[in-house]
Amino acid sequence: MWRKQPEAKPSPAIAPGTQNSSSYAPRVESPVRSSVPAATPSTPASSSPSSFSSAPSLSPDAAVLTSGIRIKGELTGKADLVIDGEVEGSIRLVESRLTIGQSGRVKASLEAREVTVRGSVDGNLCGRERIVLGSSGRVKGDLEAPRIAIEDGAKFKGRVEMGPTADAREHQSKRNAPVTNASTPAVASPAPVAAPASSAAPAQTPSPVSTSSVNSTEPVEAHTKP
Amino acid sequence: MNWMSKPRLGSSAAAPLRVKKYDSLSASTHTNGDENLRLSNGLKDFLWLISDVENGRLLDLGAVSQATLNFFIERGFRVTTDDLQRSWVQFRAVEEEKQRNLPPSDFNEPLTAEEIAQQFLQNSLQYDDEEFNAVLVWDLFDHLDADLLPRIANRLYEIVRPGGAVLGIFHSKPAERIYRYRIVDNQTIEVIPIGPAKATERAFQNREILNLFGRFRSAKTFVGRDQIREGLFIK
Repeated sequence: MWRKQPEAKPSPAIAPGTQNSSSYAPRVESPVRSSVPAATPSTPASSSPSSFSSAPSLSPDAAVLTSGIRIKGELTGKADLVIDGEVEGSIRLVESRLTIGQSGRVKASLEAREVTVRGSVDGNLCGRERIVLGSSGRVKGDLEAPRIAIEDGAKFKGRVEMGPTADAREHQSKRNAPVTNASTPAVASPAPVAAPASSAAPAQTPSPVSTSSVNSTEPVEAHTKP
Repeated sequence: MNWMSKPRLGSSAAAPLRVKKYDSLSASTHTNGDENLRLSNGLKDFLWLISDVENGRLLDLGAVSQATLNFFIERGFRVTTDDLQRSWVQFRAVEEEKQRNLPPSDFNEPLTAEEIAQQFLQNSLQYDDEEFNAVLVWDLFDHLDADLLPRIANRLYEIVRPGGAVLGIFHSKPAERIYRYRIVDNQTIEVIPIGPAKATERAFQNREILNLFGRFRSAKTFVGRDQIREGLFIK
């Protein structure tokens, strides 16, 4: 079920406009995975700038949940994960990349560093760094990530919130807490100036693969409920 | 949103008219630069109406587009996307399949179009009343069944806040294709043909549009040279 990939191969060049080419990392073929449908289309049909051409590659340690496997429960871990089977419950890979393959069917809330959806997801998605909806992706739920990329043809129903994730906001509030604490002993050094809220999110660092994504200066206030 | 007290839009803001060839059957299904761009006075007014909204909420009832999402999120809106036309097509297909699979019986009468519309709305557009400051319906009404139109219009009225705006696009003749709309800038829409039109396409006269959105406080329509009408409705 959980199959470690022995090694990563260099990503093959994707010709512009090529269909049925995979954008996530090449996966080592194995007899078990031979039943998995061919790689998902990822090259955007649109000529608009997009970050999909350089979609994240998975680490060699990425685990693969092949099609035909069905899991009910909670998935956690630190390794990258590709889901081509069915999962119901919750998935939390806060330090890793999570890819829902084209044949993947997930009915769960997802949280990962990077989430790429090329299959079907029914549930809320939280990406610490970013979320990518491929052209074959189907999502019914809310998206929350600093950067969200959506290919033409993706189907999505739900709310979108871009900017620091809830964890990043919480982290920022903790960092700012000593500054506002009146009981803190006075220090000779000047009090640190509160950094912009957006600077707390590690994902705010500019990335060459997200030129078309929303900028990182989205105010935190924009994500509070009116 | 005190749109009544807003200064009128300056005429100096007009941008050079761009070419619009998107309704040509020969148009590619891919974006082709300026060919698919359309100058939209309706969008211009729509954005002006919601320009002073802070932390606003916008509902996009078209196919999800990253460009449109970015456009509004960068302006401080929280965006909700709900591709209602696709939902309707899927729902109707499921219902028709159910009807076909019903065993023949005197008790199993097929649902009427009105009943199907009612069932669809029980699970669609389920948002709180007055939840949104603005709604983009694009050409949704061109693709829905007649029984659904007044119900959707009424539901839109309920979920829009007082002073909120709804922007729609209505064809004056049945569209030859299905389009996806994407906001390029303050008064330009990219119209991307994504497939052939279905038999359910409809054309609207101005009076029909005004009747549909009769509950709204104000309605304004813009007619382009291509006889496509943009409607802007304010609650």
